[in-house]
Amino acid sequence: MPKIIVEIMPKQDLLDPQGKAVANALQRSGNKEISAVRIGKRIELHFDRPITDQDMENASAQASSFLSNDVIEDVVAITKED
Amino acid sequence: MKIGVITYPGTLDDRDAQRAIRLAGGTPVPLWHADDDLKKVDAVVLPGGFSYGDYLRCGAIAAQAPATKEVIKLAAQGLPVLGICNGFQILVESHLFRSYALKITTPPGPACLKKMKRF
Repeated sequence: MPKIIVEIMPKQDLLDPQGKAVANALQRSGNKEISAVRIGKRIELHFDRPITDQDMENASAQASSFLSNDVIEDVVAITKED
Repeated sequence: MKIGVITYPGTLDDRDAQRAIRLAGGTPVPLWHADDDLKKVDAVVLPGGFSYGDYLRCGAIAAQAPATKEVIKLAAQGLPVLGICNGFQILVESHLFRSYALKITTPPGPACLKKMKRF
């Protein structure tokens, strides 16, 4: 199924409390070599037809205005998968 | 004074807000998220709860609602708006505090978290 994949991460200079809590839990369970965890999200936009350049442009606009909040998050990748 | 209270899917405290307005001597006007008619109210309250189950980001989906778009438009013209809890998150997601949010270098949330014990 053709899809556009949008990947979003919390901004580098922002504290990611969720990632920090998970990192602490991993370290408590013996994973001492993991120094940090950051948690973002992957959003898949599915299509029932081939993806056009227009779809990519639209996805890019939605990714920065609605799917992410640019005050606290960065869109790190928008990729197409056929 | 007519004060609108918007109900989104997942809003919990709309009845409480309406009661508070009534007790304070105002006239609560229930407003529906899908309706872009704010019924000529003098002010609007966005009550708390979990609009759209906090999906995507808290308040993000509710910020796209026709009623919210109208709030954004009228707020620019001076309509008083009160957001409580999730209602305030909807206002943040509506970018009504954009210039303020970009100005602060140490966001209050994470600064407070640093003072707390770790989970």
